Amino acid sequence: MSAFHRAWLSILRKPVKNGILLLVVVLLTTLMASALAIKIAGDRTLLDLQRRIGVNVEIAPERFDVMMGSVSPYISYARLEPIINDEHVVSLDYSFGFHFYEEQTQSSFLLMGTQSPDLGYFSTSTYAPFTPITNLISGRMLTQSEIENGDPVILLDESSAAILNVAVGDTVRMGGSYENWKAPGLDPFSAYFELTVIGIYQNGNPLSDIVELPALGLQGFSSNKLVDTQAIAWRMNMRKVGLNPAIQGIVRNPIIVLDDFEGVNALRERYAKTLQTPYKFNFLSEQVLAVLGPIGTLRQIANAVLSFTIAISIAVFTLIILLFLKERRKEIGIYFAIGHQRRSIIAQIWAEVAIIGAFAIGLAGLAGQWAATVFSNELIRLQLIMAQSQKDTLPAHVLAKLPTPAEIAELYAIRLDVSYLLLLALIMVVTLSLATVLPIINILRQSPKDILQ
Amino acid sequence: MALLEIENVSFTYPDGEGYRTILNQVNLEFNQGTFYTIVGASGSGKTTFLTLIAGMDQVHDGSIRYNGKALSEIGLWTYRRQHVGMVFQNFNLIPYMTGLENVMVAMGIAKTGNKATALKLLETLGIGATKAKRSVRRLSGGEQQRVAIARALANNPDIIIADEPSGNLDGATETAIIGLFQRLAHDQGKCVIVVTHSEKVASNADVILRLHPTDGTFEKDILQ
Ligand SMILES: Nc1ncnc2c1ncn2[C@@H]1O[C@H](COP(=O)(O)OP(=O)(O)OP(=O)(O)O)[C@@H](O)[C@H]1O
Ligand SMILES: [Mg+2]
Repeated sequence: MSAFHRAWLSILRKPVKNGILLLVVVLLTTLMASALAIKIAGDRTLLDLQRRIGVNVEIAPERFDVMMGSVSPYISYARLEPIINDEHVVSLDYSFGFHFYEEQTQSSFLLMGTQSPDLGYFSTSTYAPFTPITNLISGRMLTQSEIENGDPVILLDESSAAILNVAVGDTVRMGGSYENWKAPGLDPFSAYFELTVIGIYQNGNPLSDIVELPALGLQGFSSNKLVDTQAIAWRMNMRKVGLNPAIQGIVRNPIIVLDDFEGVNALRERYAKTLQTPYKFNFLSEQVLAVLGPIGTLRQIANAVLSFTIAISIAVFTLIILLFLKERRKEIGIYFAIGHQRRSIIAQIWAEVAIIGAFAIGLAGLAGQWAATVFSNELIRLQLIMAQSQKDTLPAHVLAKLPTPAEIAELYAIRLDVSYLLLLALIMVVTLSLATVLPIINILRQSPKDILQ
Repeated sequence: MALLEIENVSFTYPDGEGYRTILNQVNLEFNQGTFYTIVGASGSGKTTFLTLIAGMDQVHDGSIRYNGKALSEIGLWTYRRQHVGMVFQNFNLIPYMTGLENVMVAMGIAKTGNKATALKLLETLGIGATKAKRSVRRLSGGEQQRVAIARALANNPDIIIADEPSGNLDGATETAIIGLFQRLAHDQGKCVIVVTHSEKVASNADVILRLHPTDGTFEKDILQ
């Protein structure tokens, strides 16, 4: 008779005792299983969200620096260049700016390129970061294809249009070099080029543009802000058209997209010193995760519950098995006396534990999945809605990639899949194995003579 | 050469401050085809002696040899598994199993038998198929004993050891058991060693070994 057969008989013929044991094991395993289900769903959701939003690192000043006072959100391209050429960087999301003169009036302009057909991108300023007050008053916004092609079109703010005396459909000639923005050994760009005005917008914040240039050490000032697609195309061709971004280029809140999360710290370590204070690497994915706090919290709770339950289970299972074996001391003595070897008894104990464990995994797998769903889904839904309020701290184009609470809730959905059951089985095998260590030592110490006493 | 040779075996139990000698320089031989009984007062050390010759405890003083080989050399586990079958004073059956399963549990070890063999073995001991498949808890004392004997025979060992097999059985059952031991010894050539308080069992054996209650030595009576 095999050890498995004996184990099966032992369980089957003692239904009450083994039923109670099964109940205890199922209860603990259910706790384990639900924690595991929550953990898996949380991990999967976070991974998915990270994949969606990418590894975004924004280089920005700390907005409320006491020593420096207000700081421009622009950083010179020269400082950025080594960073964006780093091996981990896969792409760059940013609005690019150049300082130019308009040919007729010789007014200075800050010409900005964008990758986002979204006026909101230009609406915030150092002084009023949370007031999106830009709106289109005539014409239209940039189209995606204009942005991609870098068509020579331009959006002007209301006051710039008034200075230049242009309306939608007119053209403006811009270019030349911004005198004060010179570096030794580099030629300033002096060509002029023609842009068609496609829209005019109103920037309700009068402070937004005036004070930004002095912060960069520029003498002149620009009361004008333009949105231009050419600047984006120039990002690729800047040097071809004679434009030197290292001299004239400034970048507003550049967001570097990295290939992996490991790269973030490497990047910080390598370039933190070359960044001018108070500019910092802000890991946007961290901010996104902060927005998704409830998932993170659930995941942490699940991790804690899981490790705690495993520890408790090992202790409880050990005690139960020891207790059962104590009662079965005589039975084991009989096996020894009729010639069974210790390994045969150990195999039987293992088989019994495995049978109970297999039932428990089946039952608790389902129960745990159900419990996890009930426990976490409503909580997630509720908290995600609350978390929405924190979203304003994220740039629009990152926000655009962020799923809605409904989508996140769906992503998070707790599922009964093979990997979950396999992982649960693995955890149970380890837990039960550890729980049989003491009992097995106990068996090894028994001798057949024991039954005679 | 005798099947089992007991040479200068002594055994003591710790008793208060000192030791109590149960067996004192015992020298005995057991042969195949012989039915032995061991008699002695309660507490004289009969079970202790069986424990040693059944390979359930180590001999520290003296030696026991099976077919000329010391038990320690054969290994007590192997010896128990292959060469000796034991019927305990209180049967010691696995309570949640049937009679058949109790026999098969012993059989599986040496891989000598199967279900049919076990059923046949029980049948020869007067346990039919229906009773064989009943939980041993629902068998009478006599029936349980026969299951215990069947289990001892399961691996076809050379030596059968029984500790008070007729302790609380009626006369007819006792007679049947005596007949069985005699057949095992005389027809199948087994070495049968039975501890008993029963004069009737003792007088039907080939050899009676009387354990002295205090000396720890045996006195041998050859009847046949
Ligand atoms: N493990 C032990 N430790 C100490 N003393 C023991 C131990 N086992 C048995 N004894 C003592 O050794 C003596 C012999 O015991 P044993 O069981 O061998 O006697 P027995 O002849 O089989 O008696 P009975 O006829 O009542 O079954 C008894 O006095 C008993 O109390
Ligand atoms: Mg006894």
